[in-house]
Amino acid sequence: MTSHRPDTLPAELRALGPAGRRRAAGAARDMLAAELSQRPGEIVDPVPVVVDDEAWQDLVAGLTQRARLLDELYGDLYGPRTVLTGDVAPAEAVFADPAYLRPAVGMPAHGAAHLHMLTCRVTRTAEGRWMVLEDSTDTPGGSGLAIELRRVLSRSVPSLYRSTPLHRLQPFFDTVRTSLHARLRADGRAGRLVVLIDEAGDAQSADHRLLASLLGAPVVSATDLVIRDGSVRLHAPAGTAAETTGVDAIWRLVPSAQVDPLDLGPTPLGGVTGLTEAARRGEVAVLNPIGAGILENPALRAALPDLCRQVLHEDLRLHSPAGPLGPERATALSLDPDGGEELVERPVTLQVMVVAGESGYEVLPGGIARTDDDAPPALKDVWVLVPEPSSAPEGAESRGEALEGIGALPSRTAITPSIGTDLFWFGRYLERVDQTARMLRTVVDVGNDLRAERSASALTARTVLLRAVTDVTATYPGFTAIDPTDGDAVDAELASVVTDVSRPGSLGQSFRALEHSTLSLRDLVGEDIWPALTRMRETLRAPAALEGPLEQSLTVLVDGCLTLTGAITESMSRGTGRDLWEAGRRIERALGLLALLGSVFSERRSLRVEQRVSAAVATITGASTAFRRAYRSPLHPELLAEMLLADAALPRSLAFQVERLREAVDRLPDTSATSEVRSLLADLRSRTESLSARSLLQPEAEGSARTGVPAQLGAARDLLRTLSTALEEEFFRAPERTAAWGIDDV
Amino acid sequence: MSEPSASGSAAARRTPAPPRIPLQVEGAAAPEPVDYLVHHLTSYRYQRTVDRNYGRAHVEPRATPYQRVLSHEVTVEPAPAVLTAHTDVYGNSSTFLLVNGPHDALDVHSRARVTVLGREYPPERLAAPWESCTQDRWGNLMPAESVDFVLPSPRIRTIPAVREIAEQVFTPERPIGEALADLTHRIHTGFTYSSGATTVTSTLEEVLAARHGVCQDFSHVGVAVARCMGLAARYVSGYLRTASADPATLGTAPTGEMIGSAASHAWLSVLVPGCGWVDIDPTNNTFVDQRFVTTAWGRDYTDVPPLRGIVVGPAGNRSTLEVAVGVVPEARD
Repeated sequence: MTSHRPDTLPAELRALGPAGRRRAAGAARDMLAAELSQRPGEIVDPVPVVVDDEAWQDLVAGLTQRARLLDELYGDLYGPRTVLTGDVAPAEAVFADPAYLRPAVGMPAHGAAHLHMLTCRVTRTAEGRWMVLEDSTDTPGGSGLAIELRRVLSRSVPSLYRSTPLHRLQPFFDTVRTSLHARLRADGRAGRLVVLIDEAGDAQSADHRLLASLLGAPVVSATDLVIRDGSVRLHAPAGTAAETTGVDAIWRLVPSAQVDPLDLGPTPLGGVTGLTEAARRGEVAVLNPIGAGILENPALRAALPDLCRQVLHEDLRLHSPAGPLGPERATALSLDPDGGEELVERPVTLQVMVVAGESGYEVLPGGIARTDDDAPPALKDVWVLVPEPSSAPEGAESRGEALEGIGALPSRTAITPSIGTDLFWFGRYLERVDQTARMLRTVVDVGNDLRAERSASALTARTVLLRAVTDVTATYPGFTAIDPTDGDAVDAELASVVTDVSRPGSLGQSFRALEHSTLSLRDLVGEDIWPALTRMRETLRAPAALEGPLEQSLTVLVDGCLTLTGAITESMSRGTGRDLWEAGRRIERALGLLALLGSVFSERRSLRVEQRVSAAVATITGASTAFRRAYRSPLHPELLAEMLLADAALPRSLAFQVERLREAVDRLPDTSATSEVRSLLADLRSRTESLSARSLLQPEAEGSARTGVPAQLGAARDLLRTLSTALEEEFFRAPERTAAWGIDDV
Repeated sequence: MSEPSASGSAAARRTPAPPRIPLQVEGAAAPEPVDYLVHHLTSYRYQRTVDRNYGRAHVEPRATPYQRVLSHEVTVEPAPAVLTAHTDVYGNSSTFLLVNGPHDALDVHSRARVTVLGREYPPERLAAPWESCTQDRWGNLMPAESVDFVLPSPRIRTIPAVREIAEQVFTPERPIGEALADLTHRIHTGFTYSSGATTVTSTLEEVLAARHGVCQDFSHVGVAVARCMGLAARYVSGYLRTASADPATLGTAPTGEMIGSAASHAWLSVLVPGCGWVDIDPTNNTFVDQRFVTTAWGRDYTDVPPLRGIVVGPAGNRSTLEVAVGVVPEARD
């Protein structure tokens, strides 16, 4: 039965041929770099490291024993410390290790175990004996990367992945998630989990985010968490309701020494003041527990054979090499690092992950292999063969269940005030980022053309558009204080409006607010939003974004908004939360459109200038094609404005927004104040219908102010803001008002 | 029974004798225990209202072989959202406090009643050569945790200036009691006590170069010297008996000729097998006796600061700090 299997993979590898294998390696490398927002990407070798069932079970037995041993050692080193008395444990090495955090002594265990997870770097000797080279216990990583590598390779070389029945990785994380919930509930907790990462830690942040999305848990940084009364809570972004979201467990991917400035010393990451005490008092489960890094101590690792006998009364299954690794190591079939056509054997190390389950430790059936010779290291997938061909999964893994986690618990059907707020603001910020990015992209693009032209009308059009950037984003003084002919000053201001996160109204700041609003939405939005958010963040943060063409970075953001919108519309269950998101989006889009039209048409210009400006407005609002279909005339400001205000079929028109807003509000459950919201909405509709673009734009002489434009459009905006406030107060805000922030807020 | 050794004329104060070693004398009465009422108040006043305050305190007297704690209590004003205490890794009482909500002032009171016993050591133990007290001679019966006090710690490392003192103090075969008296004396005479010359963040190097410092710094120097010879030494924090006889009036200066801020005194303790830990106070040139109330010990200051915290409030806010301590003897029944 099993004899056909070894044939299949080599056959597929042969079928690919040297060129096909190289192509696959390149494609996988590019895809992985894109998924992880890395540049340059790591080298990927599509030839997997294959581990048969017997060898794997041997490793699993060794790793679970190791996890049990390290768990006992943590409990003792941070508890009674009996193991240090006697000659077995290297007491001196433990005491001298800065990873031994004395303030963490006396922490209670959560659930059955102290140690929640463990990553080991292992290798095999030529005789097939597994050896552990390194344990990672403080912030064990790699599981996100492992699953991403599998996804990327199964897409770039699907034929290989069809050839062999191997263990899938995704189900492991479902087990991890459910057993973690079970453990937390057994511990008397509600099971709200967050993944604490170091936002600035480039190397691991992608891996950590992927893990978080697999766990269906929001990613937070230390400054997102606050302890006010003993328990740990999520900070809400400014401008939304006060924080209400309690946190029961923290999957800690930030070094222990940096999580609590009060008890563990100052940290560049800010830390969560009082976290050590909260953990000590059992208010929150920290996984792995604070101080787990001591288990990485090399002297302790060397003493594990004796400690295993002393503590577990068993012989240690997995040993570690005493010195440097000799040449007698098992190798794996690999691409030739020197570019040769034939496959070669290279030594590899495997990164494998162990996580506490409901009844003991479980091992991810796979991992990441890295070649370990003099040539540059390449990443390889680790295939764990399924013993029974009949139970083999078919084909490659899917992209992941987009709605994973939703509805797993009955209590999740209700929208909490904070979730409602977050969804509403998620909609608003998503739309704000989208509009700002679209506007900036068009202004940069058109601006380059107009700058090249050097005519008076081109200069005026450019001035009007730059001014619109400042008006719509409310980044005053902005272009009101800049000479539009000063190219350097204009470029600097545009760059600032894109990237300066400390500037209210900037694209960077709006994005940050958008990202923040997603923190508590893990149960409601699909996992697809996390990689999209990562790409957007990297684009905004990377200095390279400004060295390359600005339009390109802005396009990444516009695309990202499309992905996020798609992820929500295609993945999120219909219901109140979804309607609040929709309402937020529509309000923001309407506000943005009114601000844009109000800015560019507030003064009468020559038709030549207004046509140029209108062309840009049509691009920003995606109305160019619709206009060309509706009218045979060249772009005419009055006609365009009329379309954007009144055409209910145009997805970025005011009429369209008002209609969708009405539908969303109609679906919302009735509450005491529903009638107020409905009557405001009725006002808004009648005002929208009475707006006549022709009468607004027509009569005034060139160069004079169109007084009707700011007055009429401003009144509509005021109504929208009142409506937004009413919605918030009705559906999710606590009675007291919190301070508003950012641009153009209610 | 131990009189302050640095008494008398100004001339005598400049060149005091080494401290007397408190030895057990056969047939002589043991020193009388003293009961104290301890009240330690730390007050912060903020120029502008702050929002939240987190604190970690080591201000409760702890049980030691020479000290019994009859009662103790920490109170915080304004009313804290969280006020908890646990026994830390060194057996000290460690208090966490969290004040949530706007406040302009923070008061932390620690009140306790303790009995402090006199200390006298067996003469033959203190006559043993200091080399017999080092880590390599401990044998298996010494608690493993003692190793923690031989190794370097965040504030304590062996630097040349430390080794220089150590070589003068720990001459071959010198009795440990005499060596500790000499260590106390050398630091007392070789360094000038001046508050303000150093801060809690001054390094050992800075203190040794300047030959100035406060009780904390002198204790660190003593600990570093002992450790560099392979002895276990720990940093002890506590209070000195204060002058005021009225428990209602808190003093800020210790009684009589004692030096140091009464608020948070510090000294050191060295492990002498067969005797236990022997406490010496270089600041006052004395072995520790019934005038000292012990709150906590650790490897160095960083393990047991009396009170530190993190305040959440407006940027650039200023605050004033006042500390007052009363360590007042009670009449024994």
